[in-house]
Amino acid sequence: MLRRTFLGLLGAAGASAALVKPTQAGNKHFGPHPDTHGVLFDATRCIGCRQCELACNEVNELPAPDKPFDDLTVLDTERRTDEKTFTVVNKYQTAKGPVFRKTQCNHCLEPACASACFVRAFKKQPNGAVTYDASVCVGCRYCMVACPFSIPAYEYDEPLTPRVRKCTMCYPRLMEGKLPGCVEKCPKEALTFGLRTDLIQIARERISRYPEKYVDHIYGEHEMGGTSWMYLSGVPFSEIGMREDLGTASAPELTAGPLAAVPMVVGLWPVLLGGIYAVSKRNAKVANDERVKAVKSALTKAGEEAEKKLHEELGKAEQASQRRIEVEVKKAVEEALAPKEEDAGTNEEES
Amino acid sequence: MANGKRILRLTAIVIALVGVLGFQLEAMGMFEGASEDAGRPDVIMIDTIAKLESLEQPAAVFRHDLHTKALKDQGMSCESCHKKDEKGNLTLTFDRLQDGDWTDLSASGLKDMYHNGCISCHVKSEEKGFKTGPKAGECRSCHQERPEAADRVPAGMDNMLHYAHWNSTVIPADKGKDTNCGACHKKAGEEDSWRFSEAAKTTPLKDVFHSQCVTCHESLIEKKADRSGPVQCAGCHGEKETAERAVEMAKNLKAMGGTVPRLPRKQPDAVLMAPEVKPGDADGKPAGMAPVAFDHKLHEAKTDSCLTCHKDGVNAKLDASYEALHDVNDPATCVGCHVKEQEKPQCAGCHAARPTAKALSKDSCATCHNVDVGEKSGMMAMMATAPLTPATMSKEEKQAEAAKVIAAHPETQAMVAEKDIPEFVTIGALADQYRPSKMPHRKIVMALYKGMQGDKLAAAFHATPEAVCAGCHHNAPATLTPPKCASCHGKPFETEGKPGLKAAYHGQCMDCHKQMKLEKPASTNCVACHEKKTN
Amino acid sequence: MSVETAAAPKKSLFTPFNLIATVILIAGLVVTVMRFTGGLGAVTNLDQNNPWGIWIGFDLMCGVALAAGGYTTSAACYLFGLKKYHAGVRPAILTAFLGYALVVFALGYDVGRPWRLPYPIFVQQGTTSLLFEVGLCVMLYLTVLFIEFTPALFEWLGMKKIRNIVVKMTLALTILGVVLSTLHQSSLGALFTIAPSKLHPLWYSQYLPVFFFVSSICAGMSMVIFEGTLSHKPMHHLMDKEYLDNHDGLILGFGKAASLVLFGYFAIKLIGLAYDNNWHYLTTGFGAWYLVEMLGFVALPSFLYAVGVRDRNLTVIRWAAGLTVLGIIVNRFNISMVAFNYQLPAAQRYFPSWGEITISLFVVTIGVLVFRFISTRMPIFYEHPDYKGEH
Repeated sequence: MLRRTFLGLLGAAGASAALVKPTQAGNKHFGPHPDTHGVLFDATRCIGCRQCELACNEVNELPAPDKPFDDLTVLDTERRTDEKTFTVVNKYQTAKGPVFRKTQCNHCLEPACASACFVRAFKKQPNGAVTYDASVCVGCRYCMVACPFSIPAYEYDEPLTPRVRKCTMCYPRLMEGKLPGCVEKCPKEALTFGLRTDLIQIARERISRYPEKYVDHIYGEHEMGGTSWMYLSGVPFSEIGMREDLGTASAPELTAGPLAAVPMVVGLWPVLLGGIYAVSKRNAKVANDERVKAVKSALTKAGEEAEKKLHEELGKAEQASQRRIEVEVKKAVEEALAPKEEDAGTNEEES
Repeated sequence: MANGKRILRLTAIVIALVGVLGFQLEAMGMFEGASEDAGRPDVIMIDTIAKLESLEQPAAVFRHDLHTKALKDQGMSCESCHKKDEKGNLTLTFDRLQDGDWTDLSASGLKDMYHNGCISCHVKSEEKGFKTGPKAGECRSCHQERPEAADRVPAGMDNMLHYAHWNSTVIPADKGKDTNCGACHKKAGEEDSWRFSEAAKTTPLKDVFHSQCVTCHESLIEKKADRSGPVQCAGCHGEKETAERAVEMAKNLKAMGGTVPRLPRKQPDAVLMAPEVKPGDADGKPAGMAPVAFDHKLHEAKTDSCLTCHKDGVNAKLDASYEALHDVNDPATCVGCHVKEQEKPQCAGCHAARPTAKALSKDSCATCHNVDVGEKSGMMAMMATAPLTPATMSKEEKQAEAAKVIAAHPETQAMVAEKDIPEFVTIGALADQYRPSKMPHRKIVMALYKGMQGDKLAAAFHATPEAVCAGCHHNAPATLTPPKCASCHGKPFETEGKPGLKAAYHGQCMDCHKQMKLEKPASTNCVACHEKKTN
Repeated sequence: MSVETAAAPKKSLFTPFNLIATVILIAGLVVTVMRFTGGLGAVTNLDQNNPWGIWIGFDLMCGVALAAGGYTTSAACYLFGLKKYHAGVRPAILTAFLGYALVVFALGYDVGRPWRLPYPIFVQQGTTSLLFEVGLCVMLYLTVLFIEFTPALFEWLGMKKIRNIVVKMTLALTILGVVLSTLHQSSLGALFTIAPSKLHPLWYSQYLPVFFFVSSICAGMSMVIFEGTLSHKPMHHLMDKEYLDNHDGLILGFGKAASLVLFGYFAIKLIGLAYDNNWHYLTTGFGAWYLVEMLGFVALPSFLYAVGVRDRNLTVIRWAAGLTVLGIIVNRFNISMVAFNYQLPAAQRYFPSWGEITISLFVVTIGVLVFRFISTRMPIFYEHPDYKGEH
């Protein structure tokens, strides 16, 4: 049990370990859809007026918030998106004074939520928006686990029809040729809407024209494989609440390894296990045959020995009886001779 | 259970093994991340032996200020460690004189010298009852595997600090003169920064400065002078100490009226900067850019140190290449420094919005390149013309010519007549949820002009009074009747760099307010500029 | 051995266990109503930052790991040919089947729309998702386990022919069971590979699927020993000679295997640590907790198992099994709740609510009660007399 189990498990572990790193399909590189649009957020322009939050609330017909949108004291606490708020603006105190940043779904090029969803409720549309289909959602909330930016929110207070809620890049409005609500409303054009490739050009231009004004980095150009919503900032991104340790690997890349192992396991395991079964069965059979053989030879040996002993005993018995016959014969002869002498003594009487 | 004791014993052995392993790993430093302590300015790494052979132990960490303070507490002087040479000056090496003295010692000799010198003193201090450093056997306390990094502010002499020295009564004046330059500078008339001295060509710069400055300060302290400079590392290189001194200097400067008195080194007041013309060039015809009349006296007061522009020392010839004088990003150049000036709040309102590259547009060349250009105008105004031939002029002639042009510079910004500035401008092109905005136009323009009062840079480069209008009425000729914003700004996202009309309005005003550090009206206070429509 | 239970005295229904179980059942029903009228927010402490709590961390992840005894025991008996484990197969299969069934039941509480649970398989397949992988394999494996359980059912019902057909499929079902188990045990670990920024580096690894799979083997074997120990006294009167004779041998054998596999698991975790060069995290607070998990719940039971096997000391092995089971729970909790979202400030971290704890207890109690119901009526701990010697 020891050795066999160990070897079997070692083989299993070895095979799965060897398949951890995803293998690239040759040198193929799949880029985003050429029509992918996006939004460029310029933190040096944002004044924290929350008009974008207001516009989002109106366009998506969301319920009214607890505090109205012109109440700027809410900026003193860091907020996140929730099931009634698709976007929030947060204030950060930096060396250059207060800086504001708008948070919403980043509409990644390879969205973690779409990769994670086991009913394909999320779809990256050709125009760049990542949309959600509530008609198939089971409510497992794996998308919330997967999103590196922690954007999707859930309607925990809905007992029977809870949905995942997040920014849609105003997909219906985009289909009508309109701008997303927040982009249209911003008085400073801190949000620029356009083709993603154009936005990258625009961002680079702004950085080169005003090198003192911007940090030389377009956040979202490569993070998590690239996002459609990108950011420019005048202060380091970590100072405005953005994680700079996310890396450039997209979420699907991270799970590609384990997924790739699945068909291999399905194909190889039956062979391995069938082999183990065959080997163990053969071992058992061989052990059994050996046992039978051993018993047989033991029996034969015992039989032979018995034969020999019988033969010996019979011989001995033969001899013994022979001797006894001789003894008897001798006795009888002696007896026969003894009365003759007695007769000679008592012979006158008789005539 | 029967085997309970055995199991316990074995478990104890395992735990002990793990403990030892953990201790070993910890000692090997495998668990440590990078040290995050803020560095001290006085950390010196003693690695003298590294010049002779590869080190067995890591360099020893030595905190100089800690020791000077400790010696002071014990009533001992610098001479405990530093010998004095024949002239009575303190040498900067430990326990030996300079000039190759140490090369006589082998590596083990040096090791013994340091060990004995340091440890014996530690032992003595401990006997006296003071807190002391590591002693024999505590090797790793000095030879640290991961030592703290030294964090030094670069020390430097700027005009204010230099003034403190040349104006000081503690430093005696030279014989027969009323200046004390000779106390530090060797050659009279050719005084320059010690960075460019002969000594600096062979000796490391830090030794040059330390032997000049620290030893002098030390001797003054010994002589019990009224004032002296710092002798501790932190005194010149510590962040806190330098910040404190900067504050004190600023206070003194303010008390003096805001300008440092001019250094008495016979600098020129005006300089004619003309391109070098070699004999045989252009057959004597005027060629290239017109010379520049440079107001040296004014610029002396505007910089912190002569070295800001004279990067290779005041005695060296100034680099007159294009980049050396026109680099937008380098404040050591003419253009770069002017761009830096534009970052002041009273300038930044308009200038922050302009791309950096625009600071070097063709229009601004003639502002400087204007010596003897005659009646030429437009693009020709900057080109050289006869009969000025700087190559043939003497120094005095050149200075006189430059002084002439400088004298003609305007003292202050010429303003547009108030009656020509519209008082109110109603912006109603986009009125939707808000009523049209009534902008106090004249008030804003006058405020901008006020910020330029007495500023010769502004006066020089804002060629005409209407040039100031171009701060907001941009990308169009400077005129008293500029085009409407809506002439160029229409729908958003058509051209990058040209916002839509709404963002143009908001961006123009809000960004200017932000750059000029105006708190009112707050950008988020919509109704401060336009009332909300009620219906 | 006679099938009839020895004439047991008529026991009262109001045993302490039954009373406690009833209380839990009632509480569970109350919370169920609250869950489906007020939504998840009314019953759980889940929020937008912490979408998964103990219903996933315990009910799903621990449940699946601890139900791994099914495939390990049946593999040992039918694939590795170790006949001495034969008597332990049916209890293990029953435990596993109930375990997986309850996992699906518990999932009905956690997901927003439980009636849509078949959607990923029948309506729209999200094949890029490791959760799809988990769902598909769990569904198939539950089917396999059910089929593997049916012989006991058919024997009880007296349906000889169909029972024989199913028994003939044992080998195929066992292989399929191991394949499916490998896939979904490892995929549960792989779920977290998608969020490296949210899982503490000491627990995150690209090898998470391997770690989960190997630890499930230890979990399964330990759970068989543990559950065997728990059920020994109450079910003793049902256990037949084959079971009792082989019981000790099963414990020793599994103890031996568990010791080795735990050691192997410890080794690959160490390798993972070295591979990612995460040594410096060991001196942090999380590092200390990681060491407790590794040394106290992996290295120590491995050692104790070895000692117990060598000395043939069943008590030590049983304690080691309990420690391992606890260790699996600690590990799954760490990955899904403790080390997950480690980067958030303390005020935003998750702790289970009373409602969630109630439902988890509710699910476990149902499992125990159903197990008791089935094993006291069907040939789980004994062989049906009609089919003696036919295995």
